[in-house]
Amino acid sequence: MEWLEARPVSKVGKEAWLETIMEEYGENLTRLSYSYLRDWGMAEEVVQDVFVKIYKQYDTYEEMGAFKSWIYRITINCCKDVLRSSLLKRIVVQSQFFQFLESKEKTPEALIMTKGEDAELVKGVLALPVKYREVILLFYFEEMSNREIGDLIGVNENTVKTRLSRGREKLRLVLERSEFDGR
Amino acid sequence: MEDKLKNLRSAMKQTVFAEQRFGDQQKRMIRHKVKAESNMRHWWPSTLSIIFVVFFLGFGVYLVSGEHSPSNNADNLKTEKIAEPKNALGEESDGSQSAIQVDLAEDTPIEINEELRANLSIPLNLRDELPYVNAKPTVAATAHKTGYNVSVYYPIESDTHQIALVENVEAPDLIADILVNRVPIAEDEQEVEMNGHTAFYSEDQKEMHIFTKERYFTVFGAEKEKLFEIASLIDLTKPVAAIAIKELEFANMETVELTEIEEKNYIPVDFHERVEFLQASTQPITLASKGEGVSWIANHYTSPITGFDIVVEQMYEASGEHKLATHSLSSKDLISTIELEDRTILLMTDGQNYTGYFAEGNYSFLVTGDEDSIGLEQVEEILRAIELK
Repeated sequence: MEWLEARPVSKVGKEAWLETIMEEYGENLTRLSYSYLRDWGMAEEVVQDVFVKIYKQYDTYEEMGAFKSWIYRITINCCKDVLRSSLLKRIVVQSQFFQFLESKEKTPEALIMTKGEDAELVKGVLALPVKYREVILLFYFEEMSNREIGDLIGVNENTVKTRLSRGREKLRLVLERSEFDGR
Repeated sequence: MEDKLKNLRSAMKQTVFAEQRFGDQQKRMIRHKVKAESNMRHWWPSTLSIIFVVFFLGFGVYLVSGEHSPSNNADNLKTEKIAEPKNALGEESDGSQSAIQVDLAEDTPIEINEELRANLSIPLNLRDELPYVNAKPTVAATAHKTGYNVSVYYPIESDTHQIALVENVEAPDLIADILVNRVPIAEDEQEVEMNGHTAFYSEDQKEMHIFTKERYFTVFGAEKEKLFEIASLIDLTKPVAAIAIKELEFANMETVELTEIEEKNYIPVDFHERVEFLQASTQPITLASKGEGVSWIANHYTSPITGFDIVVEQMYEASGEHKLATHSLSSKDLISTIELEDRTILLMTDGQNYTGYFAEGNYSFLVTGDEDSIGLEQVEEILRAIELK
């Protein structure tokens, strides 16, 4: 895949480099983090930390073969650290997720997501457990191959296939239930 | 399903990812963090250089002037001692830096130690000050980007169920930003003055916000007179001292396999078979973590109503203080209390989710689900089904 071979722009100074990578990857990394954390505030926080980490590695970035895959891996690892680092954070993430999905005073996202098949699909995917959600999003949203996903999250290709298939099955059940409830 | 998922990319772009989230404010925060980080890295070498330069210059002056009699030495020491408190108090902030350096993620639970207590402007025990506050408070503290948040909640018998007193410390420029961009508490909000500081008050919401240069406060849960009485107990003139913010010790927990949890598991994999509401569920997805003197097991079930998660958790704390649990309950409102022979169940809400809780010995148990996915009766049913043997 093209982006796995992509390298950052030429060395035009550390500050300018930071500006360029923020411009290029900021939105995608925020979305990627959100898909793990299901909380915009925490996703933004993770992305800030990711850029600080990357900035510190400026002097060695030319040694990195696949910049985009590296930056994605850092982001995924940071998200997983947040998810596993503390019970309290997990409680916060979960309750805020439900606030976003079920709040009486809906957020702009929730308002967008209240109707339609697309919304049900997205709600269903975001409600999946992390290990299924990540492979489904990397496969269908980021359009990565099983091998690329395996390399990125550190599991073998067969595990990716199994998780994809179980994730689809779980999602099917969730969507069927919501269709049934909607009748 | 495959066909539906092929549409996922466009579905997400049209719904949850429709809005751009990474903008100028995010970039500004990153630049700020990068700058703070490199300042930290240059701080030690530059400080050492200054110390050496000052030392050699001072030593030179000392040799040239010949002022090295014992009495002069004593005077020098005296001068140094007088100078010390000035440094300890800290200089006037330039507006962009907080006196407090925080190297923790946003919302990380932090220790409420003596140093932090001494730095607080809000009283931690209203029971000593006000006759109508009798219950023991729940206190929670978390890290902010450039400071911290301390929230104190007192359960009371009223329609608000609690009195809340919240203090936030942040960098002055961030507070100024918050003040400018704040959303009014309610339509009836009035701007008032508290000892020369900007404050906002809403009678409808029984809520008050007070802003100083380095802190902002929320007082909630009482009628006007009482609210102002509580607000008057806040020390609005206290300067922020440069204290160290420490992560709550046992918040650092590692994810482990369930078999690695040594404590008894009261919510085993077949637990759902004992609960009518969960009987349709298959075996739960279980997460387990442990840290020093603490372990946690969480079973994720699927709600038969909506298909979303119902989480049943068991926590073990060797201290028996249930800090983790009370921390997570601190922002919830109590709906009812159910006294059983061997446990007292608390049913709570945060406005969107129902939570049930009880503690016994070193163990505590939590059930959480959103209001559309579970009812209070089912929360109670699940907690009753835990067999403490």
